[in-house]
Amino acid sequence: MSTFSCIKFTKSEGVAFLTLNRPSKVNAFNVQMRDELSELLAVINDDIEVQGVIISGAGEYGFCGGADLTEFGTAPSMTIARYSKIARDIWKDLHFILKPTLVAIHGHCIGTGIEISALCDFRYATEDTVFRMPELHLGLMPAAGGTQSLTNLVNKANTLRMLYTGEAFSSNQAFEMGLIDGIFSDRGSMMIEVEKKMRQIIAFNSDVLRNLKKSVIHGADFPLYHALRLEQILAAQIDNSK
Amino acid sequence: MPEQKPQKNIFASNVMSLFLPNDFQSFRDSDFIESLINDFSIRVVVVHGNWHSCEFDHSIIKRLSEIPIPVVAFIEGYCRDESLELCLAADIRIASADASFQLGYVNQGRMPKNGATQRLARIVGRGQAMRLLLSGECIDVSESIRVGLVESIGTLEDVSALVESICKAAPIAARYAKESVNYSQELSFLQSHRLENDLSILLQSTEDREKGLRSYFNKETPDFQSE
Repeated sequence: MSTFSCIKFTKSEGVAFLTLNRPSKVNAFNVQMRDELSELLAVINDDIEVQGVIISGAGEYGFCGGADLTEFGTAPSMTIARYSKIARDIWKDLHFILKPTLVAIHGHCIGTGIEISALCDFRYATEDTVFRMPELHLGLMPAAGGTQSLTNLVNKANTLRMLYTGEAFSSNQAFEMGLIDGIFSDRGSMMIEVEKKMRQIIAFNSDVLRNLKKSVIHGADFPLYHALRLEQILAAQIDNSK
Repeated sequence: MPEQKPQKNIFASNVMSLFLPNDFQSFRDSDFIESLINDFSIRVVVVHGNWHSCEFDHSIIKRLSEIPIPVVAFIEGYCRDESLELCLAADIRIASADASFQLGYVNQGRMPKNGATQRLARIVGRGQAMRLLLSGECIDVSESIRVGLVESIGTLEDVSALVESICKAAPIAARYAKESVNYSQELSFLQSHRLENDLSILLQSTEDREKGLRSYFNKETPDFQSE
């Protein structure tokens, strides 16, 4: 695991901890981080020892200060940039991973940081966290699933408002909107509590958890009739395995 | 009775103010949307005025929903039936403290035909949509915020401040983001995610994107030109 420089990966009794690890750059999301996350999500998906995932950010400044803009425009062409994003689509991987995912946010949570969070199952933040989606004010647009995942959490109007204005908002505002599930006074207690929450979840039957998430994630993309069929099939799998 | 007070100059020149009901005459023109699509000088559309006095036909609400640039609705007073359906077609809804909302169709033996059975559930969720549609209950502004029908309470000055901050966004990026957000509820995750990706790549061809990045590194405020 030592080959990874931008993501710290540790495993402890069934829980995988992924830590965005460029603290001097407020964990700005770069290509290296994307490639490492892509590999690690595949490893986590296949590793039967891992039952749940907790994502957080290293350093005191924040969870993630957004995409590393110094790398923007370095792809040889728009065509290559497009194919490379499709080939290593970690946003899709994070959305479809069938193990419970939780993100613990502190300090700055900007752009890509919010988008990573929105693709996880559970989101917690320290009370001093500052959230912001600045893309449109930089001539950019969200490209890590933000325009899909946010509308599921905070509705279309709130999503557009946060994108259009690019204004910062607090943990309390994020909680009221439904963007995060809970607030902690400090990072230390947050990390202890989120691990407890994750351990409570993974104490359940792992096949049930897997099929449950499969039904919720895939069912959302089906018309209701077919989604209900999927739920029945996945539930029958569980019943038959007993 | 429709009031005739002129309200046009409260917003900057890059904001299109549609004052109800007067300004909806121009909105009826069949080439309205097409001309707005090609008019890159307009960055935000604000709909405000006398909601209850607007005479509706289906095309007005449809046209409002087809505007590709950010649309903010400011709702004052009583907003009912078609007026409510009109504000559902905006991106962001701000209401005055005296605003109230009601869908009285079912009580009159009618059903909505301008989006209330579709857009409302997508905004406030199915449970609250059913409640408003089936009960005909009139809700005040705080309840409308609680259920998510309205984003905040404010005055026209608050709307003006919001609009000013939206005007600082790169206009083409705002259009693409709106398009991608709108499709997110209509397509599967994979399809809408691909659309978001494609639009973000298409955005790389704009001058404004270069300018935005350059300004970021030079710590300047970018002056986006819709190029």
